Amino acid sequence: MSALVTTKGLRGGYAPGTDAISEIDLQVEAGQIVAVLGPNGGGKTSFFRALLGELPRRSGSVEIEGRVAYVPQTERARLDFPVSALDVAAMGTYADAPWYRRLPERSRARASGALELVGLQGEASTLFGELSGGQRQRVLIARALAREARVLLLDEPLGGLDRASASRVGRVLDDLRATGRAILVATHDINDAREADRVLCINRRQVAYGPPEVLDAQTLERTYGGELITLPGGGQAVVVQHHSH
Amino acid sequence: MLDALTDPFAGEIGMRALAEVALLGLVCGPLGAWIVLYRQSYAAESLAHAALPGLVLASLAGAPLLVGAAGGLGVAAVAIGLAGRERRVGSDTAIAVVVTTLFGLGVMLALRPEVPARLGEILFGDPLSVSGADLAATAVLALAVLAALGAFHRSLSLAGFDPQAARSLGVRPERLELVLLVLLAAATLVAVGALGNLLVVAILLAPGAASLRLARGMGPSLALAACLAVAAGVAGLYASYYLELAAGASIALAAVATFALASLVPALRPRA
Repeated sequence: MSALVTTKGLRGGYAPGTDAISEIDLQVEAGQIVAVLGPNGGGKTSFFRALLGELPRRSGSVEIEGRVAYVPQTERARLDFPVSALDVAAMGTYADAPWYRRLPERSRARASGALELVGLQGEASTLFGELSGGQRQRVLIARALAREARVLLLDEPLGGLDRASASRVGRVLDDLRATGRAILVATHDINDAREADRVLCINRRQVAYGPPEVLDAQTLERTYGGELITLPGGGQAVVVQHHSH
Repeated sequence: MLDALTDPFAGEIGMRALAEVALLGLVCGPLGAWIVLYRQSYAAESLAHAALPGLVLASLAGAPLLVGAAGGLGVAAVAIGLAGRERRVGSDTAIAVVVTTLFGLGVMLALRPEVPARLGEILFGDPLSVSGADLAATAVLALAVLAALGAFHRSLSLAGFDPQAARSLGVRPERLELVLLVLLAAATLVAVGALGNLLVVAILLAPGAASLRLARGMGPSLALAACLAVAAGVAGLYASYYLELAAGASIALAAVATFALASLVPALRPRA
């Protein structure tokens, strides 16, 4: 197996004197799903920004094999924008031609193929805002696939989805894992994280990285602090304080 | 019947007016749709109104209004840009203060006794007074704006639809907002002569907003916006000719009517 993402001592931030993330050491192999678990404001999005080269890096290194694509939460996109599912998928191919030139036909074909991979070829002409939450998430994944990305960064892809839609998106991610892509998924859900191949616990700095077994009570406590509550019966859950980025 | 349709445009003045409103409709319609999508309608109104001092000064100096509009828009763009960075009182409030100040300054200058009696033309426009040189300038700037809209189409779509992910796909949203403001300034520059400082906003925004209610997809929305804006321009000229109304105001009202009608027919948009 080859490593598609390697970070060593990664540290970075926007505000002077304050690190958004630090001490991030990990290696993600091809065909692995990594859950990035942490509280709001804990640095999950900043970590993704660092991998995209958008977060000012203060020390450490990032090495990525192939292209990387960011899949935002669907509610961040404008639902009133008159773009179809195919239009959105095609946005992943925009780098194929300079901004002032027409996209080549093969780009459109690649976008179409990406929609097919996520099971939405029948919805190509449907407006993005008219799709269900799960379908919108799959269209955004198709956009990343059309970009021919080997590394996918998904920001809470299952947030707000019903069980059936979440299951469908989960199957798409499993299919992509089988094609040798590396998939990093930011999530609040400890149960979702336990399904991943690796888990990165982050709260401004790396708390733990390893197989799901690292998710013991002590690690969760260090990751979430006061946001972690113990449920009757011994289960643990996180109180999610929604905030705007 | 045919005479009734052609009479308003039989003379040279009518033909020039027709060409002017057609060109303005072709460029202002699609540009307006983008402005509505980018939620820059307030900036469009601000930019047009804040250009008034430049227009009045051009009138005082006997210079072409186009020159005055260019200078006024330049000052307004810088002032609005600086005010937009104000965080303590909020950018909307800061822009409102700047625009009101510039508009008030323009009115104060316009009411001086030495200003030629062109205030009405400056505020409300007159497509029937368009000269051949004005028409040529409109054609050049309209083509330039349309070419830019075509060239930036993909980037505008991506940055407007998903600004959070746009950067990772090679597009900087803040640059596209600037591009849109520059194109808006160029369109305002050519449209203000025919439609005036107060009414230009109608042709810039109403057809675009109407098309977004009626059409499905970006391409059809932009095409429909151009058609509605041209139709509003032509309908306004007919109304002006047969009802003896001011041409600029008639066009503005026709443009607003497209939006009102679009609001009444949501059923035209089939749902999936």
